[in-house]
Amino acid sequence: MDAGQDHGQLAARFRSIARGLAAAALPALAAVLGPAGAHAATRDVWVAAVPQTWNAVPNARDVMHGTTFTRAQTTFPTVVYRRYTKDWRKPVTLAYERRAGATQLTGPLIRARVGDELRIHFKNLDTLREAPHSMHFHGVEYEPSSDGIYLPLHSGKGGAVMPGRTFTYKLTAGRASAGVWPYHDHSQSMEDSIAGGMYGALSIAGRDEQRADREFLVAFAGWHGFQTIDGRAFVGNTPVFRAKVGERVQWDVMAMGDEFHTFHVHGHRWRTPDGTPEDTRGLGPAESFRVSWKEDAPGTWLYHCHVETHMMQGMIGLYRVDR
Amino acid sequence: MRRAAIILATAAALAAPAAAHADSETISMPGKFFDPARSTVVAGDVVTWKNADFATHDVRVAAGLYDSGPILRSGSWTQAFDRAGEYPFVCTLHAFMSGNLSVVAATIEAPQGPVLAGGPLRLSGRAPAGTPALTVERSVGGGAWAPAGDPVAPGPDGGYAVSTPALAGASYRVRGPAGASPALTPAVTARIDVHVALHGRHLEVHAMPAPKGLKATFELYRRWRFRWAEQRTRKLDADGMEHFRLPRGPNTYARVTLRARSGGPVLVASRVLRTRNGHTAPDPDAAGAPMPSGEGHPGGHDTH
Repeated sequence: MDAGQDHGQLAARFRSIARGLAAAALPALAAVLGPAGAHAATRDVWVAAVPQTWNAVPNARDVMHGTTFTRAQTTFPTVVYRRYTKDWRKPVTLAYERRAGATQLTGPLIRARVGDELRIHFKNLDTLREAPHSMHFHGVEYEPSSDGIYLPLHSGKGGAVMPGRTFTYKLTAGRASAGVWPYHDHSQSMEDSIAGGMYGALSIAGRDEQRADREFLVAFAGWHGFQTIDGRAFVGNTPVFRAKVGERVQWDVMAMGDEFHTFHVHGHRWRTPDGTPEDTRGLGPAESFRVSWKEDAPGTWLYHCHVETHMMQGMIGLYRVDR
Repeated sequence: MRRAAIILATAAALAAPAAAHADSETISMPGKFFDPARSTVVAGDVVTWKNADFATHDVRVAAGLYDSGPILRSGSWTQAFDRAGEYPFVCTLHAFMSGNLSVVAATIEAPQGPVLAGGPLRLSGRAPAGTPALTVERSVGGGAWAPAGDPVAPGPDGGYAVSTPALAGASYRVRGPAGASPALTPAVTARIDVHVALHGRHLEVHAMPAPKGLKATFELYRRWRFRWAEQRTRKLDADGMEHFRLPRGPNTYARVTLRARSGGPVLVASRVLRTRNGHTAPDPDAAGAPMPSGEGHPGGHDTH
């Protein structure tokens, strides 16, 4: 369960009461707000930019080609987004994030529903580069002050949060927000930050949508000469996703960096919105999508970027389906 | 106070071994023999012969270089030895009583038991008091010696202790202004054999030889991660034995690795066995197949 969920439900109750009062005075407004208020929550998420020493190839091998690496070839210091408990007391990884394969390079997988308000409390704890950072979210609604971009003379404090400072981004998951969306640093440090791993995903469910039994995060990005999925390269290092026959699985796919990728899962197909079967879909920088199916194919499968040079540089993983 | 005394005693023992502290040696004559009959001292030491017999004895060193004259019952005679060399001695009154004193420029000792090749070899001993510096030397073949590290400064009493990488088959000595110590060839083992056997769910480990403090780590292969994962680490007992219990779980591979210290480099890995039946299996890490011959892949062969 999301750390902000309890708090969010409580807030939703208050909002509901407030709306009830408003409804008494303004029946016309209540007609618009009422249905949304029944489910919507305010979700507080605590995130910090923190230094991280990251090894993209912890097993030191590309087993498919018999290549080995030294730790020095695969490990570098970087700065990443990390989820924290309230008031940035301590770093935390939620159970659903672990199940989704989220590593500690990719930022937190932030879940919400259409109609939810999101308050992303961001703190810059970058003691490595001591650079300004921000969070810029795709797919959601917000005021320009929560855009998280740096533009001299125009952007506010949220566009360049200086080391040691905090900022709260206020977002709304609107009617057109259902889906998977990237977020990333959009301050003046963004080029280095994104190359180092300062990105993550928002997973926004429809208002009444039932969440899948399994949700997997696949974030394609280059990293220090490797092509990574969730910050890892080569099978055994990239997430090993697991599901059981009969479960509904959802793949959240996004890309960051300068390159195009094609998402491909072996032994499976999904349908496009017009009903066309598909087993490979392309995406460019900051593009994202989610695909879903009911699992019916037990075995060990590969998922990878089908740009072959990317696959050779590590953009490949394993998917285990048990009976 | 008692605790402090123990700590001080321990500190002294670490600074230099107890045997190296002696700057005087006593040779007793409890009967018609010398005890000990053979001694080694450092140049500058003094040696005292004590007559604990009922009969009168004497000591003639090196065919008359030094002569004690008669030593009566309960009497003693002391002589300083400043020059390195061999000093045989006899009692002229009982010609069958003989002994030998070795006077050396410095002593050198190594710990009991085998030491791992490449690991730290702790050498200690004593040089004449006031020696400013000593150099540890290692044999390099053909009777030649080479320094095995920077010069060390002994304590005021001449005691020293130094750590140097252990080399299998090499001899060591220390050289000071008074000359070189005798050569010492410590037991350095270049190879440890580790045997594993599965009995039910008990994995038995036996390492030979087993240098003191050797750590055994039980590892299982994570088939989906393509890597060995450490499960448990234990110190081998004095006989180099230990056992681990296999967890219940999916069939995979198991092995035991030996390290000199936790987290250190792997010295040796056991054979790989199947957890299902204990049978020997190929190392799954070696299964990352290079391309078939004739279809070379960049980095496939030479880096593996």
